[in-house]
Amino acid sequence: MRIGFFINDIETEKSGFTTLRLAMTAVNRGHEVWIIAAGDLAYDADEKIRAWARSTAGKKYKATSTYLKELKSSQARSERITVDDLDILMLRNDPALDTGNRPWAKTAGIIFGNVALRSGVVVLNDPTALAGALDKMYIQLLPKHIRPKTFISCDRKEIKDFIQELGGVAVLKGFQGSSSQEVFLVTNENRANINQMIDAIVNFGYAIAQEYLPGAEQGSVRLFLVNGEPLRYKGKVAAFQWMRTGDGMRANIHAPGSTAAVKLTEAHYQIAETVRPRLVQDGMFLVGLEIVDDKLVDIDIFSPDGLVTAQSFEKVNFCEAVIKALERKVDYMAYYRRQFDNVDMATL
Amino acid sequence: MRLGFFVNDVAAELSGYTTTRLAQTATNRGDEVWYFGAADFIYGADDVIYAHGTAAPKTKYKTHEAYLRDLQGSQAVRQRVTVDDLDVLMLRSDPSTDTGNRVWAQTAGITFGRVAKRRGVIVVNDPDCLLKAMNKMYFQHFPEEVRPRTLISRNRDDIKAFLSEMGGNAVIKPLQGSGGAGVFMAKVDDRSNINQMIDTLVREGYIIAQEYLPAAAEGDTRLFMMNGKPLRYKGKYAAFRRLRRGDDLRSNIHAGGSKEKAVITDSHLRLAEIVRPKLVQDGMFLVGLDIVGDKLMEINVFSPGGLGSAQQFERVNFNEAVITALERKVAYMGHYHRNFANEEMAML
Repeated sequence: MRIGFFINDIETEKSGFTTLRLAMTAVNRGHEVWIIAAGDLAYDADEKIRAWARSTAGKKYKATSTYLKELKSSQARSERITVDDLDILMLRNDPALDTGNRPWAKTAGIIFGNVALRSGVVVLNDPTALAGALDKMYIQLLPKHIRPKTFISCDRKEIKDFIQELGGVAVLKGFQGSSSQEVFLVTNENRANINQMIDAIVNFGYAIAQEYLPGAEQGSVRLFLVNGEPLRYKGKVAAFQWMRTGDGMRANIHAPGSTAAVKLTEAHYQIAETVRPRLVQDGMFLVGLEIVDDKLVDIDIFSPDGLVTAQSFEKVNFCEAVIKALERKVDYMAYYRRQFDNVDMATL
Repeated sequence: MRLGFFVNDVAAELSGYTTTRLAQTATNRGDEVWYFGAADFIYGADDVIYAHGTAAPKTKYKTHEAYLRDLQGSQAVRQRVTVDDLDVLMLRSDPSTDTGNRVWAQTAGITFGRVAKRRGVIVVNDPDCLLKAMNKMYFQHFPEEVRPRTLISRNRDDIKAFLSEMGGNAVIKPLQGSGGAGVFMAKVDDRSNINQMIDTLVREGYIIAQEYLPAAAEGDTRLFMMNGKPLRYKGKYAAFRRLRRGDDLRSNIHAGGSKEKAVITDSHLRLAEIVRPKLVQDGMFLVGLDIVGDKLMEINVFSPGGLGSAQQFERVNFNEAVITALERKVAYMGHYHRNFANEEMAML
């Protein structure tokens, strides 16, 4: 198959990223793989979507570091490809990384991906649903019982009232911003600073105040879903435990912390089962759930990372499972002559 | 009916705005009318959407000037309103004016409107579709024959090649963002400036290069569409002509220029007929078409303005036609117990 991976920028890609491992796995399985950066797309006068894209010459790669090195080198093939002729376009950019200097880059994949749908390219995750998930409202549209108690507002007094209602302890973060910037834990000890914390967020938009879950002290569980179900391959489920090491509030895997194998519980599967209908409805092919206690604290639908970590604990090649799922979609599309609703195809 | 108008900032509204005229008309008809600014929404801990609303204190106003004076004055009613209980939420903010520190405001109405529509509020224009229209690619989803030839890219060579292909003249503007800012006329005999124009725009993201239509030199025709059809009331079309002032390329209202009565031709009506299916599909209740010759230059789906100008030339109260159309939807929603797809209700 012909597959394109849309990313932020080749210079900021790291060999540990899930995207690179997926791309390398696809190359090793004999597919034609193109890497497309946020600024390299074009809508031509003949109404086709094209892109300046990179590809490698080799047939097999053992390590992503070698693969990435070649992609960045002058040996890499750099060509203007027709995106409309691809079988699959995976939107794998992390919009949070482009919040500062390149806000336009956050939506480039979504905008052009939407046009590529016209030519029967399978675009994943579905670009329309991704457009609606650029802020944290996406999680609020999931059933209430799996979410922490939440309040969203620009009003300083109302935010303080809510935190008071929670007993003075709450997580405070930007509603539209990225997952990693300006996350505060308000406690009864640092209450004197509450106005400054609220201002730091409200000056840039809406604030989201959320119940603090005691389990967050230990960290969180990341669970991958493919086609709306926990990603299971050779009897193993793609998941791991992230444990906080420092004092930072940022419970995501780029923050300081360590990882370990996780034993999934009934509560984890119950959450996955609860979000499944919405993910299927929205055409969310590959998603990462962030779970603390029996609550869903975050859902990463743009560029869920850490599949390689899950792989290292479970000793199976989950990336292969993802690429196989894509191969199956390409077969389906061939049977149906590239005429099939993208949202439905995304989770078939 | 209970009607909410979402605007950029209540204090910054002007009396001549179409929104003001619509709100005054609804008030005089006995409707309950609330204004919300970008920062006024609240997602409550009980999962209900509220907002700090502003309303004019009296039930009748002779002029839109008097109405707005009261709305912005100290006598205005300020109250926490349950948005989920409104009959209609009309999104009337202009995202292009919220730049810099206020970019978060661009999507606030859409984000909260998407939740409200799931609670049975009629939200127009449909917020999920407005989200797709946040950039100018939306326009490219309309049939090719009604649009000028277009190229979208960040690559300088691509853009220059297109300019040559177009015989040297083209309009270039940013893909994301609008409002007449950053719109350039690129001419082949102005080689020295072309690079600069392109560089200026590329810093902000992708560039649209568009075939220049010579007829644009004289101005354009704005035609309002409601429920997917040209807005016609008492035998008159809601439309007017905008004349270009001097060399200024930006033929939109904010760039100045004078107006005159429009003559609606068969070619205008044919364009309206071609865009209709897509507008219906997308739940675009009230839209402004900008027409030059037999081509569409732009579709304003966010906050089409100038209904007052159309009224001045045609001598009928188009605001009443719009409010009556909303009242009809509310009656429909009553029969169906607030259980009806928003995109479809928006066009009924």
